[in-house]
Amino acid sequence: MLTAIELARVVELLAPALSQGRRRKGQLVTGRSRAFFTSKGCTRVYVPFPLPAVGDASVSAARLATCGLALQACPTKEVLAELPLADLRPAELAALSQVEGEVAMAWAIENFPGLERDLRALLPMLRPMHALAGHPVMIQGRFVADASMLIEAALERARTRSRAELIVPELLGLLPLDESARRSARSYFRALGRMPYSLRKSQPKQAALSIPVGGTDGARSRNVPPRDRPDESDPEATSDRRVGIPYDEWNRFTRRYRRGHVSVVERHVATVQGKPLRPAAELLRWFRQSPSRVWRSRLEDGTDLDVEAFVDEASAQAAGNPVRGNVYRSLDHGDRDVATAILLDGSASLGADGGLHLRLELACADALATALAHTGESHAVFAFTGHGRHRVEVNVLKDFRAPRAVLPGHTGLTPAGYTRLGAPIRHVTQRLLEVPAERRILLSIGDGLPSDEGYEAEYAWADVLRAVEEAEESGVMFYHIGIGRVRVDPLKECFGLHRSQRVVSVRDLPRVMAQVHERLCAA
Amino acid sequence: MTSSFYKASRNEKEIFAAAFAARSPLMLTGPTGCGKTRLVEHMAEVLERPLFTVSCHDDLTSSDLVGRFLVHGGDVEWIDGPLTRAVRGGALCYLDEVIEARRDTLAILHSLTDHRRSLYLDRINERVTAAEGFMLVCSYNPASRSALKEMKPAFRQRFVAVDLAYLSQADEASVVATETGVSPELAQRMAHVATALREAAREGTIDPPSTRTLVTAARLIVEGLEPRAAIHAAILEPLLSGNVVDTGLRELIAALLPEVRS
Repeated sequence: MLTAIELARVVELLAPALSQGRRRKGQLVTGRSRAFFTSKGCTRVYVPFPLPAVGDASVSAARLATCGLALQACPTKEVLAELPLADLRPAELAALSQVEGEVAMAWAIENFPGLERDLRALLPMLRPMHALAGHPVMIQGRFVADASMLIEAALERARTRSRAELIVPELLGLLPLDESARRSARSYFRALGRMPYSLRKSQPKQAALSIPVGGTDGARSRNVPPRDRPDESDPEATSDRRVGIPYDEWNRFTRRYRRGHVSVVERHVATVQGKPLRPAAELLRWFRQSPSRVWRSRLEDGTDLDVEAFVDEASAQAAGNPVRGNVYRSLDHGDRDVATAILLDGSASLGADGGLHLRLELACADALATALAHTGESHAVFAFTGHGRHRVEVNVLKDFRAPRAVLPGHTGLTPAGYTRLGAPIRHVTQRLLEVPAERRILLSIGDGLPSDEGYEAEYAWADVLRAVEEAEESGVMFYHIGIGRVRVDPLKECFGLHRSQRVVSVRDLPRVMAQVHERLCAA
Repeated sequence: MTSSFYKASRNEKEIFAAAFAARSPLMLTGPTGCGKTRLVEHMAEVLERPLFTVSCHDDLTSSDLVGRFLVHGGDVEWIDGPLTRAVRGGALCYLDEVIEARRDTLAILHSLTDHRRSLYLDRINERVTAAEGFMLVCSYNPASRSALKEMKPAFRQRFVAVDLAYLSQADEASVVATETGVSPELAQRMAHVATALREAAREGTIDPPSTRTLVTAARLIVEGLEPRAAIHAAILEPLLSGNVVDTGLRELIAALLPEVRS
């Protein structure tokens, strides 16, 4: 049985591989209305978690997901995505799902012969359809059927079969979502990058603006909204169907977990490579206290002659003493085997004080990322933001295996959304546990003020503390660097004693880094 | 007639030959296993030059390239490294994954890659001028370089550059069939496996498989190993890392290959 994050990782790998890259991203979807489906733009595919129950116990969860993804990878999705499917009656839609499913089954068996037995066992009521109205759907493995052939076959089936015969198996999932079939003025404006409620007039004075929980202290964002592509976006999150990996949340009042309460969506963000920085001398010094490379002397073989050893050996030989011939030296790797994850708070509250807090956070992150890259240690950089419990986004600025070093300050990170901190800590902990390393460190950087809808004060602090304790129980060392001055400082309540430090100025960085290092080395 | 087979994806062989004739150093770029090393080996045979290959790594020092003193009895003796031997002997010197080498190591290449075509050995105070037929070829994978090992533009501009890519699925199948003698259908199936794995590798979770691993798997099949077992041993197993990604990789291979009917 696969856990949510395990299934999410499998789906992420399989989605592009089974579709020849046409489905770029595979994600989980949870809630009562969860289902297999492909986005309208056909670049994303969704897999329900938990997976649908099947009668055949011999089919593993991973195989069930693979079969579902293989069916969703069929080019019929691209063909149907262009049609206004909302115009069809329910019986016609069910018939179309069956017809499309049978064609997809034939395509999947042709391309993935290892799935044939499982697909036939999981979909016993369907027959792989190799031809539509006498025309083959594939020629030499290439898909050639068009929309009219599919629709005609579906309408014929809707006419000739009873409602009981038009049941759609869960494994077939939903037809490509047709949410933009009727394009509204709103979506037109959104596509142009301008919200319909944007104002053209300029506001010379600071105005009282609606601000998210956590506040921006009245700071206005100069960021232009990103160009929206409704077809490429995840479906809107609802409690019935939401995209992402479910995580529990600790309820301090009932002293119980709220199971699968929060949904975390991981996104890989394209980053622009920044110019490498020379890390501050103080930072390099503290990293060098546990060097990843050391000169080893008096070796039998090495890259260079060890002059001191050679002179010693020559003297010993001249004096008639025995010699061993160890006269080389070499620059070798040290014994430090550490994986570090940096988790940045990307929520709106970091935009406070005209972005001062964000700049300070990025300076911390840049310093750490540069130092880690210099020592060649395995590390990753994540930034999180949130839009309520149904969508907490964890953006991957640099993954552990990604070869390029990334400077968070060069990634265009802009503050937005809320701070539901427990779920990102749990998610990054899971990601750290995947990395083979002797020691694992999670360094969180942010203002340390968790805040979201239904996630405030003691409730939020208790959940964050619980997430930190879970991380440490699983062997991940945690440390939080608090950014900027705050009126109420809940660092101790959130992270416990000795697991956090507040920075109010860039000048504090070396001192705080030294304390972080001391704490992590002592652990 | 050469013993090594190389299927060109574009005009890389012509560019290589022209760079050799013009006495220009050559930089090959491309993803892991796309055929950079194979091209160099093939062209060394075509041009009838000896070849010295050095696989660069982050511990590679200039001594590893130019040579070092070795101790014999109570004395030390200078021994040329592969680069110095290539320069003296008019051979091809191929520095594979050159970006992995330390920066101070690359500095010794400067005088070899411009009009001087000479190598200065500071430890023995000797300047070695490149013999006729010497050519420096370097390669690196742009997707695997680190920001802190960014190659300086001034260094890159010393080279004629060729960007290589993976062969198309059909061409890769033809290479596998030609090199090993497996059936075209099986070669096509193996190329399909490689294409799917390369799609899976786009997010950087795994390393993409090389054409070389396909050829190895096909050779195991020719030696009598069952195709599924050969693909597992030569292609899948080297990609596994001991975490949940392995489950996805095993599922992918299971889906792509027909089941063995008992």
